[in-house]
Amino acid sequence: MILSFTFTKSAYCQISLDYFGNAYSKFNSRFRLNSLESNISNYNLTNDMELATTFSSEYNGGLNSSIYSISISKRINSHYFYVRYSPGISQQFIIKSGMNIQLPDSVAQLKTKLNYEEKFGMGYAFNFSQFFSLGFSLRYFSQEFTEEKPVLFYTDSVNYISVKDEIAKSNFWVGDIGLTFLPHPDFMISIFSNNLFLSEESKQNYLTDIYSLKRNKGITTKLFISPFEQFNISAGYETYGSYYTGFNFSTKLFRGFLTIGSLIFHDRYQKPFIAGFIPSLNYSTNFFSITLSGVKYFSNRSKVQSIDDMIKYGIHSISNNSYSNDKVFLTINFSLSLTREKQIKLIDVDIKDDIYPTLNDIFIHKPFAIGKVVNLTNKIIEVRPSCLIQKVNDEIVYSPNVKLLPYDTVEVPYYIFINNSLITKREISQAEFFVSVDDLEPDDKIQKPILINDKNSWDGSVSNLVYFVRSDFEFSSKYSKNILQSFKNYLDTINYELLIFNQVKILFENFIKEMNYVADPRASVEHVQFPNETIKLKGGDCDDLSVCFASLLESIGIQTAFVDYKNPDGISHVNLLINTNLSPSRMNLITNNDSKIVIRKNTDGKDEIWIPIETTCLKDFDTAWNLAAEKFNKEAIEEYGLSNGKVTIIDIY
Amino acid sequence: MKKIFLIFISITSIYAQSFVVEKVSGNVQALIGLNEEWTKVKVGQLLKGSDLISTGEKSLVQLNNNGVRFILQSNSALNINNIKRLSLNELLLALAMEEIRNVPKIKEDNSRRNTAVYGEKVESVTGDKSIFNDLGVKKLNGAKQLAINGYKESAILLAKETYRKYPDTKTRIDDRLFFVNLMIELHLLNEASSELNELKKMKLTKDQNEKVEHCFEIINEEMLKNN
Repeated sequence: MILSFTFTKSAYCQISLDYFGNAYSKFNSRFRLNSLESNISNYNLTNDMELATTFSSEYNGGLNSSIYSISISKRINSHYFYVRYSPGISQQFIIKSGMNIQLPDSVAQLKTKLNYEEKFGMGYAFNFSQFFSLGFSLRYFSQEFTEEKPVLFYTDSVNYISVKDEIAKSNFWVGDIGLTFLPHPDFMISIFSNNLFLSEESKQNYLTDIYSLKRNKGITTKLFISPFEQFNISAGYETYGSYYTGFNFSTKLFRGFLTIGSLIFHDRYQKPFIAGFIPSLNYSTNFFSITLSGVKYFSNRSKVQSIDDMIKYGIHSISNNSYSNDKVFLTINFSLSLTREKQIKLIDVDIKDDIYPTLNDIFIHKPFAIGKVVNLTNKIIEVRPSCLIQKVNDEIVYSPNVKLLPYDTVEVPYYIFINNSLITKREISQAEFFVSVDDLEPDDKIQKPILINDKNSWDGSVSNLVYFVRSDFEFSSKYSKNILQSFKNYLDTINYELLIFNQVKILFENFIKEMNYVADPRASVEHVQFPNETIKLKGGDCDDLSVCFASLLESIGIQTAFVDYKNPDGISHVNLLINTNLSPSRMNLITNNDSKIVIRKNTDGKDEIWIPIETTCLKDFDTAWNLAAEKFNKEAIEEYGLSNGKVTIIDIY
Repeated sequence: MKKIFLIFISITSIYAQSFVVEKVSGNVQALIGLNEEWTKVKVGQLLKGSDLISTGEKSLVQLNNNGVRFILQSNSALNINNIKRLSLNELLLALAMEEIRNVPKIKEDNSRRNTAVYGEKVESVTGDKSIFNDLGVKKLNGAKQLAINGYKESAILLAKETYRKYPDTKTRIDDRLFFVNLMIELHLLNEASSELNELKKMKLTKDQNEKVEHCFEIINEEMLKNN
């Protein structure tokens, strides 16, 4: 029996192919350039919401254009949802039996109409990590088969033949699952089922037995490899013997990327061996993507074919079968996201240090917090960390840029500049940490509580006492100069080599006159007075007195250094070394006892005499010198304190 | 762990460093602790770590620390805590401290230092410089005696300290060569080399020059052996 078919509508190609062909690349990955046929696991990098519409056009005696599918997708964190309405995925066959029936007023040729439709589909995916995604798809199919049958009517007067329609409907759901694995940004593999779950809504009859879509179970594997930055290869294999391979090439064009791709496929149920190919042309920007693609079959689709083959092999895909025509597709994807696409994610921020307002300079050179950032894209990007701490900054403080490789996770440092160094109250504030890729809105942010200490708080590191020394130079300079002014006559007459030594001696004797040793209040944080506060309060502990006296000297150009004596019991002590600027050969000008001096090479390599001074000794200069020398000789020299780290000399620059 | 324990014992022994004066001959003086005035040393006197003793012409002093005797010959000086046995590690630690205590070099300009002195120089030197130079020379003599008595590490340390505190003693080339040889003996080749390089820059006699070159040869040989 020879039958002829007439196609009223038809669609695209084989079961795991879709109309985009090979349009997907790293440069347009923010759009879904595939559909439920080739991406059962629904892996996608859509940022927020996306709308896609596809128009199809095919020539089957006349040009036939229609809306092929409309889809909308939405990402919520790691969840991705996809819905597709597909009026264009349908195919109708009219099978003429060749049998003519003489009706009372005409001749009728008996026909069988087969109507296949995929009404809609939906998908879901969950991104477990940047490397792994799992998802499923559900599609709803509708089939209607109408067979015209001759029926004999017997009446009293006449018997005649009429035509009656035998209608069989068969609707069903197909569910599949799939996974996508990306061990590397340039390599992706997807594995998914074909026709895994089936749910029939209608009863079977002989028509459905003959004509229903074949739903063989199988597995499809897809590979995506990017051997070069702009060149991609893809391939797919279906376990029931169909496969395809293709490539594409991307190049930057205006503000977007142009991708040209091609794909050839072998279909077990179609001839010739390479059944056809799908060329594709895509242009994508940040906001939209346009794809022009088409299917060209290599066999002659207009010839009359045997119904026996159709019944024998069946229809496996509505859109791609031996009877499908060449088609052209135009797809437009719109990014509906009102927010910027997130290119980086700030995973966490580790606050390393509390904020000490007086130690401002430290925070400029040393990060107070470290953030962990992941690059969500397949590109190398530069991240700009920034932060804002309430009550500390008036505006956002930017830290240096950090480069991130595709999908890489790195630590980014956060620096801070303290605008308000006169914070008088210790309290918890909120620090906002940002990461951004360009100058627009930050891509991500995290808020964390942070302890803001008051201006007198100190982190316990003697090297940081220098900030307290420097902070009051104006006051200290005035104070020192006032005292020295009253000794002008004496200082004018002494040997110029001894000027500094005598200035130190005069300043110390005057400094200690009104001072008392007062220990820090019991508190969880160290407290250091500014020089003007120590003078005003007339006392302090070793930190306060050393800071104050160092400031008085440094403010008039006399070089000093802290000597930090660390004790295993945690109670440390600090006093001073003071540069007399005397050369060792002039030691006899100030002492007969060489145990009282410390020789230090200056930055020019010249030896100079430094003297230790115990600032908590409030008796007189010589006693303070002797006490400090004794401590230095014992702990720094004899006990090798300088070598084993128990004693440290910290120069105040 | 064992090493740490040994150092601890050694340090402990420093604290206990004290000598009784057994014999005094001629002019022997001491600077006790951090005092500025020299006092005469008497037999039976207990001298402690930081005390400095000094002998004059044709003088000597004999010290005893639990049977360990040390005689300081004429024209010599040393601190009591110089008379101690140091391990090579302790010597290296002490030498390292010389560098640690220096003012670190900074990259940015430190033009902030404005210690220029205006006005006329007033020459009113107090103190007798020659006495000081004498003390430096005496300390070098003391260091030599330490070396001769087996306290080689302490001798090097004292010599280095003396050269820094009494820079005029650096011109005593023969003394410096003595300590260079001592350094070579203790395999302190870098230190010895550094000393020799400094010596080469000075005005040397033919004999001294030959000695310097000889020392360099020995150092080179030792270094080759070590490699």
